[in-house]
Amino acid sequence: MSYTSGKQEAIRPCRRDDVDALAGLFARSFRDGKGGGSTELRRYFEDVVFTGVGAGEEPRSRVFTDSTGEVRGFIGIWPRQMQLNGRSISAAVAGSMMVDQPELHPTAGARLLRSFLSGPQDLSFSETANGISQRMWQKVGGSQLSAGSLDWLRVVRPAGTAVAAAQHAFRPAGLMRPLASGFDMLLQRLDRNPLALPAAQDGVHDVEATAADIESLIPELSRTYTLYPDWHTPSLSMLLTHAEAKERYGVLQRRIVLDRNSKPVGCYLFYARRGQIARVLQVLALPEHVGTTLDALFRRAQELGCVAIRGRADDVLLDALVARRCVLFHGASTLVHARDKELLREVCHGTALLTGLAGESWTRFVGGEFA
Amino acid sequence: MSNALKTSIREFVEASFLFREGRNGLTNDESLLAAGLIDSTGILELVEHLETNFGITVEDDEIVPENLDSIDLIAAYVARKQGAKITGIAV
Repeated sequence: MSYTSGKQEAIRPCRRDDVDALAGLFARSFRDGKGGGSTELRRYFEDVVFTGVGAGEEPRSRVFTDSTGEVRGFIGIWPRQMQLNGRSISAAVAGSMMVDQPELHPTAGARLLRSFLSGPQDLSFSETANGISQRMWQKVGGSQLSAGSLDWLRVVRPAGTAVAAAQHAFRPAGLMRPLASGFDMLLQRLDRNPLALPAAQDGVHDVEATAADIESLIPELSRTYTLYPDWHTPSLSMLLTHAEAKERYGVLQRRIVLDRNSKPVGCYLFYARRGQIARVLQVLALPEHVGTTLDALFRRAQELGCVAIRGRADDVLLDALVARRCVLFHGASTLVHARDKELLREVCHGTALLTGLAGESWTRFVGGEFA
Repeated sequence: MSNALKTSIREFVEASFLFREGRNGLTNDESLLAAGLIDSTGILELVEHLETNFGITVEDDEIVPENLDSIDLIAAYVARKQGAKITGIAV
């Protein structure tokens, strides 16, 4: 017996014929309505929801439909197999949650979230939750991971960073870039930049890496965490392929850090664009080389002309970030939920790798242009 | 449907949503959604309250305005669910 009647608002798994509606919804929710008709965006939805990571498996991405059957909401869901303290658990990451005119569909967000959390996975998580989503997760027993909900920023060119930040809000501010660049160069020549980077440690160096190099190293370095993806379901190579194109952020840089014996001790991936703030996708390192790896990242970004480097913190990176004059601030939240409260406690008290390639940030929904 | 049930729901709604909006009163048949008193977060809070305090399970497809949009509708919905539970009707 159901306490609903007639044609109702509903939640159902995504279908291929939803793609046009989803592209429009995405454009209205995240791009001021621009690009909703983009063939590239429609193809990307098709790829990432139906033919890509975890396609066809439960839990699947879901849509909210109004009483006329129109798609008015979406939650992207990607299944994951993960390792938690040496045992395998099923997990699912949710992201890109969007609701068209939420004031007209006030139950949509709640129903999409509940539908996701009631899936077959042991652990549910999101790394891109805004303030509303965070409150919703916490109402249904989810927990926020504090370190994983912090963004960090390491400034290397102070004036350039100020201009890049201003340009983000007001595009013509970019005209000030030559002036800022000159000011930063002057600081460097006079040895007056308070945020100058230290020289590399003797023998430690980093080299450009192929996707295959990174693919072979990430599983090993992930073991630093108590919770991390198994990198097979879905495959790391597929995630890396998706992560290649983020036009808004610049060109993806893949680097491996080697110790003085040329043994890999860390790796990092970030997007660089001269004069802009570099965006980090992932930093992984052996515990004693976290700082060295961050230093290598900062230097490389500076060499490429970036004015600052921005990434997401976690429990493993946090101390080294603080020691390197990074500014920490709350961006999006990393949230976890499990019906098994003991499992949830174990996740919250450990070190969790849930962001970047492990979370949702590999998708082009974050940083993609879709012209 | 007992008055106690309606009173209990009213107390929760007033404490949780009315206070935040700085409103003084609410009629039993007034729409919580139309009045802007409740959003997706509030819906989850309400559902959690109903499940915890009235011993019912709210199914996803029951989270609709027809069941949750006013004190009267909520009380009627809870009463139906409780009645169904007592008489053993599968829901």
